[in-house]
Amino acid sequence: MTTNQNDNENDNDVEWFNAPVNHQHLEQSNQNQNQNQNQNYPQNPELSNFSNEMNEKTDSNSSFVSMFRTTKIKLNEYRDINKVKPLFDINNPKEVLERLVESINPFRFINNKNIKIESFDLYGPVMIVFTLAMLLLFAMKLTFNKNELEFFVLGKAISISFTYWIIFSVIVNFLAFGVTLKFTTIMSITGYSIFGYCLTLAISLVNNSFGFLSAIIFGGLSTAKIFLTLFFLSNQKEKIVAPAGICSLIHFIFIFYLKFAFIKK
Amino acid sequence: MANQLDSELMIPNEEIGNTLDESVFATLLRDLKRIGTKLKQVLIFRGDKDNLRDWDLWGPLFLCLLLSVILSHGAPENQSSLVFALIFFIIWIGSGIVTINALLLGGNISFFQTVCVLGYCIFPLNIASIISLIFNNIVVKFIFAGIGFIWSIISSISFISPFIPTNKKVLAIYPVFLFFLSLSSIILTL
Repeated sequence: MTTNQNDNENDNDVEWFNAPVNHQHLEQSNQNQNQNQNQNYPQNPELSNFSNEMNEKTDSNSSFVSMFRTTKIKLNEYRDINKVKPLFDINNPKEVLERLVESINPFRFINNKNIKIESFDLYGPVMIVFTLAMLLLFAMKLTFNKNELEFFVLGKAISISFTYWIIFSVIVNFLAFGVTLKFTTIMSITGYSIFGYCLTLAISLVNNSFGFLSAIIFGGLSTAKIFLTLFFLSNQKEKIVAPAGICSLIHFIFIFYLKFAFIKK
Repeated sequence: MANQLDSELMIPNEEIGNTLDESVFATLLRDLKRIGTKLKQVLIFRGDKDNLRDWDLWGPLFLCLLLSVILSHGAPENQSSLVFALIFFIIWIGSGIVTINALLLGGNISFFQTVCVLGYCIFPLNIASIISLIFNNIVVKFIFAGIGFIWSIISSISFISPFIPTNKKVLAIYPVFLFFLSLSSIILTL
């Protein structure tokens, strides 16, 4: 009953968006859909493991309007709390710990090339981002400027960490050619990669002389992890190198911004 | 028959009795007494399921306003109103986030119950903030904020953890830890 209602709503949304759109856009998007459906790489046996993760990331490259339409339909799916629950469903706390270690361990890809994307969660990323906000808050408290208002210190910490997470995952979602993952899975990958930032900030809060070194080490490790993840998940290896390089460059630069802007001695 | 139904529907409550006849003072006194018993339970780390079920938001509101007033009194003059708003914001939004997290992890708990529990568990931090306002010394502040932090975490764990599935208790407790850490760090700096 509820699914029928949702379908009807989605249909209404589609009709509402179709009205101002040219027919050319629709044709293009349909063509792209067909192409992507043909390209759903069943020929590669290594990549067949995460066929469950595939979704209809179809017309994201066609035009802005259709992109907006698909995102609106996808957001409507998450209106119900029971549909968000599987993203936070973790049976064992050790899973989170393993994924945290995985996020700064790029060597697994080099040693064994059998990639297997496990079911990802959003619990870890949300808590990592809150932890990053707390660490930024402590960093700003230690160099507390009496002219700076307490309220805006907290606001700055929370907004920087959350906007970085969301904007970075949007960038990765658009630039990752040939990677057919759900947006929530990409948010999970980028969120776990922020764990390297947390380690760096914690180390440089304790002892700032190791700060630069730890920024290079942990930032570099999580950057390499992101690059290799995007590279091995893509089915268009020639196209993915430059966009994945841009993503990992953004990720590597941001740790130095955080370190030099917030931790002063 | 009708009389029998009525007598079944009427819940005999000897403690409360008929609340329409009593004076306003008696009603307030009863509410205050209920808040007092819950505060006592917070202080002795004993979570009682039945007492948790009849949640109220008067106690959390009172404790939240008390903490906001104390900390904004200790803040510099140009910031006191903003600090008041900050504490209010952290307590209500933070407890909301903790509760949503517990619900998403599959906790068998209602929304306002958890908000109520977290609101009552601020009480040790209230005491710590009063003490640190009287003795304006960084060492005393550090000791008492630390004690209040640990105290409120242990009491909130003893209240919330029976409602969370056993394998997910650590995951539900981590945001509680962050919540009280942010509050006690504000006590330290002011």
